[in-house]
Amino acid sequence: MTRRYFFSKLFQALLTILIILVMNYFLFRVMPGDPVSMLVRNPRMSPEATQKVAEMFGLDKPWYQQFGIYLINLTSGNLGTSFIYKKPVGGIIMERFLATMLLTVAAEALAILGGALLGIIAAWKRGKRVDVAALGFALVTYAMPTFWLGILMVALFAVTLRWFPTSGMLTPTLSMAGFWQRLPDTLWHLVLPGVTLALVLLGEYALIMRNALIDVLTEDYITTARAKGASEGRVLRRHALPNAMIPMVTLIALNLGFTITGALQVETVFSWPGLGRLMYDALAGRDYPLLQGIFLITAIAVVGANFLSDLTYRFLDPRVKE
Amino acid sequence: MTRALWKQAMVWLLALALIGGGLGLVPGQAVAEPRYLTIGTTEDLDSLNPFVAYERASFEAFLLIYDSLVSFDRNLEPQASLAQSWERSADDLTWTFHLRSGVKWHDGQPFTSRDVKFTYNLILETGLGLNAEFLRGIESVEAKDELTVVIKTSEPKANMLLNPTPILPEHLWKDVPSTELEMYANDNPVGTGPFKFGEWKKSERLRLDANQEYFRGPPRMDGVFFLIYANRDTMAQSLLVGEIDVALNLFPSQLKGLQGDPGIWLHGFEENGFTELAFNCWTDPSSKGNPVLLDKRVRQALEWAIDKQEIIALALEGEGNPGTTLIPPTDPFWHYQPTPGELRSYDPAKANALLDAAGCKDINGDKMREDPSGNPLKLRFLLRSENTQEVKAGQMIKSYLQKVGLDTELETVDDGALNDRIFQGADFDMFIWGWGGDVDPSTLLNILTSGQIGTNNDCYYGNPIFDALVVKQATLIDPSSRQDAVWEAQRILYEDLPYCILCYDTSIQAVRKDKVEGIVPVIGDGALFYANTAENYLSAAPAGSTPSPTPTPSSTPTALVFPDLAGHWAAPAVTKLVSLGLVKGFPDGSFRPDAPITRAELVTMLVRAKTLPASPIAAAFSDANGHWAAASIAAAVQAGVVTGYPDGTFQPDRPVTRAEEAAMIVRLEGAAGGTPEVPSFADVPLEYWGFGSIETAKTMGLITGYPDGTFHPDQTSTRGEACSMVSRLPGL
Repeated sequence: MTRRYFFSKLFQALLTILIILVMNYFLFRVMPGDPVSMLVRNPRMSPEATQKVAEMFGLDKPWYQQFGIYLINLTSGNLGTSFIYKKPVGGIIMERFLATMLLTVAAEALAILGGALLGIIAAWKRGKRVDVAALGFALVTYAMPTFWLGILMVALFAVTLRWFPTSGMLTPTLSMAGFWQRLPDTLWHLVLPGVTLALVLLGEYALIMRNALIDVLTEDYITTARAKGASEGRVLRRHALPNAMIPMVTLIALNLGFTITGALQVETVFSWPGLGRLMYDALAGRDYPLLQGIFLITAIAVVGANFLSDLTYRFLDPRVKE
Repeated sequence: MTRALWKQAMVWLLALALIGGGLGLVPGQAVAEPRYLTIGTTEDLDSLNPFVAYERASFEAFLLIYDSLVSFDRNLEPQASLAQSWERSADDLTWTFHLRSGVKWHDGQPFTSRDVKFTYNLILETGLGLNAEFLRGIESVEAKDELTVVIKTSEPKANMLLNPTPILPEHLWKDVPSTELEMYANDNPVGTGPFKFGEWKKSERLRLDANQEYFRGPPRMDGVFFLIYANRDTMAQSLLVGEIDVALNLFPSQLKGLQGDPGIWLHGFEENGFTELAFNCWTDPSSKGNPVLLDKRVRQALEWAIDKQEIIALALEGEGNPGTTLIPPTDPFWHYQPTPGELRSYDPAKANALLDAAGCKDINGDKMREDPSGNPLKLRFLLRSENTQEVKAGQMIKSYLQKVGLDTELETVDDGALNDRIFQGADFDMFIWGWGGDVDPSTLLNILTSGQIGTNNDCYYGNPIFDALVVKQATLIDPSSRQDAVWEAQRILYEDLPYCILCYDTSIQAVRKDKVEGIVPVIGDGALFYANTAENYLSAAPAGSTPSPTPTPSSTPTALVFPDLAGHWAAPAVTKLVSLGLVKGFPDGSFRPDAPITRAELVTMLVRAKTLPASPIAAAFSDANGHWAAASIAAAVQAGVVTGYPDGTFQPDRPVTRAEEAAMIVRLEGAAGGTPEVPSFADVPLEYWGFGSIETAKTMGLITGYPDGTFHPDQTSTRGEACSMVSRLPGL
């Protein structure tokens, strides 16, 4: 039974990714503009040189041939060559992937912990001043424009107080230093973008957590637990929280996929070399192979996270069977 | 309150731990930390392979890693680089370049003529890359001996010395099959240039290390960092904090935040580029453009109807100077300035008259004009969503055209969609876009030739006379004949008006002068970096460092010597100012020290001398628009050094009297007028209008007057006198 559930979910996930793969290919090609015209708006470019570029990218071939080449390459794990950077797409994405993971994992962890805690306190003290303050804080950060918050953080912590660097991932002079010298420097650079992204995400988690917990706290079995004489702490930990966690897991799974590319604004303010910026550049330059690669990675992340959350539901909520 | 405390504590804890970690590293490096010139930019490279790179940032890197045969000096004049000297045959078809001996590649291999031959042949054979255009017309490249290269051309090649093609090492490139050239990463480029390649992390940074063996002497700093910013506001903040020494591509809106810092030098300058309003000029029946625009009177009417000055001030936030002809006045030698009779400036009455003459009249009385056959007239006007300033400019243009009875339909599209509309059936009437040029005027002129229709010629303009002139000018070796042809080509374009040049672009670069020094604008008040020359990368030095001998301007001994300056009393002053890049001579090689100095010339010199910040708003003088010195005039007016005439003119080409000159210089220095009891000069009495300024200038030691104790205040000042006075300014 469990095994069947696992494999059916896995099959669904793989099928979704395959469909996305094909759709990706055509999605970008119906966009107006093509990479050659985007690249060659250069006064030094002669018509012959423009033709060369088209040949180089295989854009002079009919679409079905291009699609065939794409599929064949894909079976051998080759995502193609970036039009802009003239390098294999896989390598370019990998370089960025680590930077993005560092930022989003740190921010997500902070946001989940902080958001959950804030939501729990608010729900537990529902209607009290603490709740009003927590709710207000969550709503404000949730509604705050990311870009604006980022600029504000830079102005306050990097310029006025000078505690943290304004941007980047590394102090340039350390680019030649060893890993153990670079690590603390990178973490130091991580603080502002990490906290900014965490603040933006935190509100949503706090609100969901608060709502879910309030719902659960009005259930009959909570009253039963209290009637049995369980302490307030035990009611919260043993009876209320496990059920309130289910919407959180859904949200976390959805967000994980999203944050891989959705950190674009934070990456832009802090010049963090992540995937979001790469995607933006690729889009502006009509770099189809690079766009497909990033979308594929994102798709895998979203589908994978949902797959994991499906499995987690079963663990959290024994009622989920099929 | 608990969660706030908790959060605060957490942030603090994290911060402390990390700061501690960061600080822990500092003591170990305190002693001899290498000092890199750190430049913040928004532009990233696309490739390190010169055959497939298109981005400006890549070419800036090639400029520093590689050398060309001939490079550009600070005045963008050709100077010796890998070639030490050169000569041209009598028929102008054969060029012999004598190479510098003892030059080594960064990997230690010797550089020889074979490398030149290899590089040029590879580019000529494959036709790949943006450098191919520079080599157009070359028939053969021969290595006569180790240090001699002979280049033969089919026609005289006027731009032979305006060719920045990087020379590549044969020993590393010969093994790359030409079929794989396009995919060759060139991850570790080896050149002969002043900087060795260090590291390129996409979207993060490019590191170049000083080449200590560079043949012109090593750069004064240990290397260059280009830090790539995704956001200009953050970059401005970085400059403020001192994380970077230089910031490029700043917006005028960012000036305010930086102006308060006395350690920052804000340098605004005119770029070699423009923003144009392009009209669909395609006469082919398959064009989907409105045939009304094929009548040049209608196109000219549109230019009369538009107030460029106001568009720049309101839509472009002052970023730009009103434009006229195709080649921007950054290079006054090639820029054609329309005569007052030719010049079209804002005048709706003229626009109305021309539209009436073209048969576009309002027939049905709805206050909007119909086309000559009486059909409703609505021009489709495309704007780029990528550029909000251009969108705003488009909206303003729409309302200007409304005032002369022309209806337009605005469409904001992305670059891809615009490309499709332009190149697939010419499905547009007008659009706004821009171009940037090269030192060689051919690059911009080529855009509008008929051969480029469908690629660069995006307005489908075709004129055989213009085409022929563009071909011809490229073969005219004599600068002044070439200038005539280039000017005539621009005059034709200005008359035909396929492009209405809305503005010449300006840009802002900022330098932390309290951290680095030795950076001088090219051609007096041009760019500091991305300026077609490596000079500023070579001469930049940590602030306060002893002035080490800057890399010698190589072996162009004639660079500073003007034949008509020999033995002239002002020669030392002129030489000093020329070496500082404050003045330059005439294109014919003369300096004309006894010629009168014009207001534009003097103002330019003063602005350069004090590196006055560029005015974000172009000064509103009816006769300074598009003048070669417009940027300097605006800066000087903003700084209060000079004012215009009450009638709204500046009269830039009027000569300056000696009293006016003294007044301007004193205002530049901000010195208060002294009032001695007895006048110093017999002909400058107390009641003379310029008495205060002249006395102050005398006290400051800027002027001495004539031996007979007179000053001749109303006499026209000469170029030599002006140089002499400016050269005595404190701090020069």
